[in-house]
Amino acid sequence: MNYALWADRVLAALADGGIAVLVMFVLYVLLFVVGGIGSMIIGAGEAAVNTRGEPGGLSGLFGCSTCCLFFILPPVSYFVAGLLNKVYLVSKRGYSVGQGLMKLKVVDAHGNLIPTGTAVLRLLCTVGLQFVPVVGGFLDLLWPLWDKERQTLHDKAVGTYVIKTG
Amino acid sequence: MFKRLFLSSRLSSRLAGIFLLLGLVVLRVAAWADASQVWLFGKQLHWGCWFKEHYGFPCPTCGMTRSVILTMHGDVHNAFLLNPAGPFLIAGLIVVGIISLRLPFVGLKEIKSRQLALGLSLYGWLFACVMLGQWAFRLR
Repeated sequence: MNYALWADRVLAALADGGIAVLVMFVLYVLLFVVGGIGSMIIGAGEAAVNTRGEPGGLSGLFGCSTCCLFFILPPVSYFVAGLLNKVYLVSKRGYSVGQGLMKLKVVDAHGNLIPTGTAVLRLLCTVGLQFVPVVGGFLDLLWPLWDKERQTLHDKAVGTYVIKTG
Repeated sequence: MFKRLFLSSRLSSRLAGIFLLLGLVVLRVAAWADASQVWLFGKQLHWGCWFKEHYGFPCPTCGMTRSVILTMHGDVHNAFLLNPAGPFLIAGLIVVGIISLRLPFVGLKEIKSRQLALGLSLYGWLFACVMLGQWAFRLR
C-alpha cells in the first residue's frame, strides 16, 4: 500500500482541526450563555466577585480562557465534529474533509473502506488520546514518524491505514 | 544521519519516556503547594479560576495544579481531596513514561503498539470520567 506521508497527514489534520475549532466556538458560546443564565437564576454569579472586585454573571461571557476549557472543550469539539467528518464521511467515501483535500483515504488491512463501527471506535480512540494531558495527542500525532506503516496510535488501535490516492 | 536517528523507533520512544519522566522530576523540584497556594521556583502564584469567580462554583479542573504538585511531593491524601484526577494523572504519566522507556526492549511490534494505543485511549476516557465525576460529586 502507498502509505500517506506524515506531512500530508498533519496538513489534513489541521484542516479537520479547523472544523473542530468552529464547533468549539459554538460550544464555547453555548456553555457561557447557558452557564451565565444558570448562574443568574440560582444567584451564584451575582454573589461571586472576581479578584478585581468585579461582579460575576454574564459580564465575562467571552473572556474565559480557563484550564477546564483548554483541557475539555477541544476533545469534546473534536468528537462532535468527528461524528460527521470522521465517522459518516470516512465510512461512506473513505476520507474526511481534510483528507479529501490531501487526497488521502482511510482503509482496512485489505484496502477496503472501513465500516461505521470501526470508524466510531477510531474516533473514540482519537478523542481518548486527546484526553491524556501532555502526551496523548502528541504521541498520536508523531507516531507515524517512526512507524513503518505510518500509522497513528488511533490507526493502530483499530487496524486502519491511511493511504495516498492522488 | 539525524533523520535516521530521529526516525529510529527505539531512540524516539526512549526519548519520549526520558522527557516525560524528566518533566515530572522538574515539576517535583521546582513547584511546591499546600491546600490553598502554589509556589513555583519559590515565588507564590496568584492564579484564580475564572469560572469559579464568575459563576460561584468550581470548574472540573479546579484544584488540579495543587493536586498534581502535592501528588509529586507524596501527599496523595490531600491531593485526592483537592481533585482526585491529580493522582490519577500522575500515576498514568509515570506508567506511560516507564512503558516508553521499556518499549525498545519489548520491541514495537504490532500487538504491542496496538495494546499501547488502546490502553492510552482507555486511560484518556477514564481520566475524563474521573475529572467530570468528581466535579459532579462536588456540585451535588
